[in-house]
Amino acid sequence: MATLSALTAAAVASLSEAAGEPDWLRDRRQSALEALDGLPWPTPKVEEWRHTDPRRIALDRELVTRGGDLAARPGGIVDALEAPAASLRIVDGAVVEASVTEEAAAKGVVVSDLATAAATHAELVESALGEVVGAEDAFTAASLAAFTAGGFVHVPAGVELAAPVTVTIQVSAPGAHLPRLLVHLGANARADLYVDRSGSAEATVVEVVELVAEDGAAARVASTQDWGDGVAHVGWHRAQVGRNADVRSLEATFGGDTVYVRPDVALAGEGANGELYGVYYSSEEQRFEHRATSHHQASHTSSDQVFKGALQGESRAVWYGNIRIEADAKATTSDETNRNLILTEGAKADSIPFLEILTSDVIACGHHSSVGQIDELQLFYLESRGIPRPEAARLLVFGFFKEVLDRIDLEGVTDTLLEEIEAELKGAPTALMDQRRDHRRVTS
Amino acid sequence: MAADLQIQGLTVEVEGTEILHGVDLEVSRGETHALMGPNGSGKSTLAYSIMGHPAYDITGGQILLGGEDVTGMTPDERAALGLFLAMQYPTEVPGVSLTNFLRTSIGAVRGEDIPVRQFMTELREQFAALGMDEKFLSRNVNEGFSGGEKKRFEILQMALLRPRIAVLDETDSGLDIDAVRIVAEGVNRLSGPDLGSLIITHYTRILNYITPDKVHVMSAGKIVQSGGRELADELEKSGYEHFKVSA
Repeated sequence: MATLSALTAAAVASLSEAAGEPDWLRDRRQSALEALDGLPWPTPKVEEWRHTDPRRIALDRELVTRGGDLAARPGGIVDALEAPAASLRIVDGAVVEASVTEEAAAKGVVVSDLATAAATHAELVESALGEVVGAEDAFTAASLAAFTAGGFVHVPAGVELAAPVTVTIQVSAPGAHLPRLLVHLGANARADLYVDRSGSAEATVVEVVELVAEDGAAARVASTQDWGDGVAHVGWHRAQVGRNADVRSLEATFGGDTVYVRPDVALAGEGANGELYGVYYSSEEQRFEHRATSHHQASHTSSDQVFKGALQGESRAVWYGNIRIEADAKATTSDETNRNLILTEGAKADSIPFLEILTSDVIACGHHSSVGQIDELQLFYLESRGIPRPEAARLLVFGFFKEVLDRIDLEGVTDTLLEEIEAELKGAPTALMDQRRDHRRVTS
Repeated sequence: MAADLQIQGLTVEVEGTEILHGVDLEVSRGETHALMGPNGSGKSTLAYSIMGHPAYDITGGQILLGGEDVTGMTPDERAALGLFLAMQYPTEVPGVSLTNFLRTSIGAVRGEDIPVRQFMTELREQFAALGMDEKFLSRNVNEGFSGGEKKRFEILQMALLRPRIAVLDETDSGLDIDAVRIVAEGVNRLSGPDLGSLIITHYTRILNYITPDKVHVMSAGKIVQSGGRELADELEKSGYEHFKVSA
């Protein structure tokens, strides 16, 4: 079988054939493979990989396509949901379940694997797949050439879903996993999408999520993961937002050894709004990088980014936020914010706001960034009201994250994530959680 | 009988500089004391030291509450024993809801969780008593509050936590006259045989509404004079100039 660094035309053809894909899709995979030939795998010298060593992402692992069945991970955002409108499950490199409630199916909602969709919705899939995230670098080219499990979600024009659509991606086999999702919301459709990833194996996960929100559509996306320590994850999560459409996403990063995620919005139609939110909590030796881009391609578009992270142990987290405003995108509003709480001395955060503004016609464009510790004034205020220091610190860390979580109010998401933050806090440093401050000096 | 709050020979350093040079002060329940003095005389340092702020190093002397030495205690331990500090600049705590904060605080100080119903009843009573809009119930702690709202919220916490000794650090500063009156009425309402108050102020204005039993004047890190209400009147007339002593 093939590996990421040694993909062959034969391996790609066999993946396509095994999935029963039509010729055009097989050809698209082969074109991406050709593109991959000219795209070098990143080194630490490449600007995009200056902060996270790409050598932490093993490229010599065998592709996994075996499928199988795994119990859903308990306590995740999908598990917390009563009744999704539709759900897709990917296990070890294969779509193992795709289901739609009768009610949603009656409205024309489709959730299936990509090979099936390539036949049933040929025109749509052909026009969209690889259009939002194409072969832009070696990882994305490899994804398009050799995705192992492809999922498709379609919400027809004008359909509003009351319950979310869920996707779970689970990994139990060591190797390389290449899940890929194409999510399409027709004009004026409304839907929430929950994507939850979990699993613990020596695995490299290269994942692409393409979301298309046609004119007037509205999508909210919660993207979470609970990777084990052996997982290296490269994810491209990009939404293309049409005229007056609105996409808001929340990226939550807690697990994994190395996580490199690119949550992007491409504001393609006039009046489009894109909001990218994120929470992360790194511990021990974890390496997280979020590279978010709000790309203003049309006039009167608006965007916001707020990412907040807590760091402890010897972990490292990088946020690179970019606002790119094209020359013919007039009268735009945009903002980007990153805040980091350093909970122990050994942890390190890099916060890099970036702006690429190619027009002078901008209504507002702001950036804010900080790296700091828990505010001693706030701690003292709470302590002076009888709240012991560990509990005060806990309240402050919760409050820090809640500010972001409150911006995207999805059923069960905030509570679930606060529970995960609580679990992370249990491994928090003694200095913060110690009842007594170490610098207290009483000589009387 | 010993006073409820006893401060004995307290010396305090901030970043290596001694600010308080031996402060003695006693406040008992049922009493209202005013501590006055010019800016920089050490009033706020005393307030923070009483509550146990970590930036204030106590290098000598002691603080007793109900006869118990609290000098080495953490702020929350002092609060649980019945100390309260109303701050000059109440801290904004983003993301922490006012109700969650208050319920946690009350539970910690009273030593038992308070049932939600009872909590909301008590809270609404205090909101009404202080003329605070119930819209604050859905807000985060002090976030976006005006100066006057923050001070009222301090008094509200004092009412809910029922301390035996309350230190009010320049609670009147930065307030217009109506707000001073509301805050003063709040303090008066809570005053009684179970509460001892130490009102720290730069101006005599709040003393038009609160009648202190004793007035102390602080200058250059020491209490230089103590007396009755008439001392405040004297300060009103002649200012702090003639109280200044070399440290």
